[in-house]
Amino acid sequence: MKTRMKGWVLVAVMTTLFGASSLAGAQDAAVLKDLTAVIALHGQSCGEVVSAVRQGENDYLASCKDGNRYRVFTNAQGRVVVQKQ
Amino acid sequence: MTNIRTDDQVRTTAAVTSIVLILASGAGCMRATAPTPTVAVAPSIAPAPPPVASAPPPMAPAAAPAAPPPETDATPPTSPPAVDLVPPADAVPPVVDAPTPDQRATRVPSRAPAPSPSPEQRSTPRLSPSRAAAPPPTQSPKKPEAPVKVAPSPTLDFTSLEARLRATKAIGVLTKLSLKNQIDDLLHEFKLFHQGRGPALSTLRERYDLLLMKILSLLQNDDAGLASDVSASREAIWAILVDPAKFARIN
Repeated sequence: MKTRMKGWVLVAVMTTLFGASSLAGAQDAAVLKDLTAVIALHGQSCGEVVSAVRQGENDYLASCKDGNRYRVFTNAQGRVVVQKQ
Repeated sequence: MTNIRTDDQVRTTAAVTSIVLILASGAGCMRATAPTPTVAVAPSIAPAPPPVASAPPPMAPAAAPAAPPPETDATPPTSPPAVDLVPPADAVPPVVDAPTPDQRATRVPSRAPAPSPSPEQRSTPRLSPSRAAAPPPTQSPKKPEAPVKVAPSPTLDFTSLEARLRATKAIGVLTKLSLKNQIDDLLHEFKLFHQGRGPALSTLRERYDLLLMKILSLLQNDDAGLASDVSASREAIWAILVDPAKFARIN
């Protein structure tokens, strides 16, 4: 019985861990897609954002597939700014 | 004795049969080899002529009344080479064509495109009537489109569209903010335009179309319904933007 209980606990823990990581991955994917769209809307060359580092609220440092890096943030006037790094 | 006689009979029959077979195969070979050389075309035509020889005469009268003059002028020079080409290729088909001699007039043009794609002159007149028939239906549906465009304008629910755009998950937060910035910029330019000191209307229309295209491209994959509604409201929104009174009401 103890062995079975341990097995079930292990399964539950693994499920929770993998579920959380996949949710985070989905959120990351949404952010990357969002950043890709913003950079494209601003007419900057990027192709696709492959990774991003969050620096603050609505403030990201995005790395593009073509090697370009952009800082995407909202300024004090509430405008979205895409700055090439 | 009877056995000997039967053997002789069998031998004789076999010899006769073999001779007949040899002759038949020889005749078959003659027919098969006939098409390739140009000189042999004449003998090959000999069996074929019934359909071929009879075809040209009906062609001329049939083409004269039915087809336009340029066709009749083109067919006589082209028909001799076509006749030379057709028989070898249709060495066997003539037998099939024989049961349908009633459609000789139509068969000649039908043959031309089918066996050899090279004679384009014959295929083009064939297509031309079909093309001539095609344009009218294409032109006719264009006319009913005009009232269709007029219809969506009264059904525009501006606030609902705005709310749906705000709520949709197809566009990310930053993208929405960026789009809002661009929409605000365009609205500002419209405001200047109505004050008489903005860009030309054609420029505004171009910017409006581009902005709408951006929104549609963002929506079409994940929120196709909203994309279609926005697309359907394109002219209605433009009508509001262009009309000073309606534009003032929005602001």
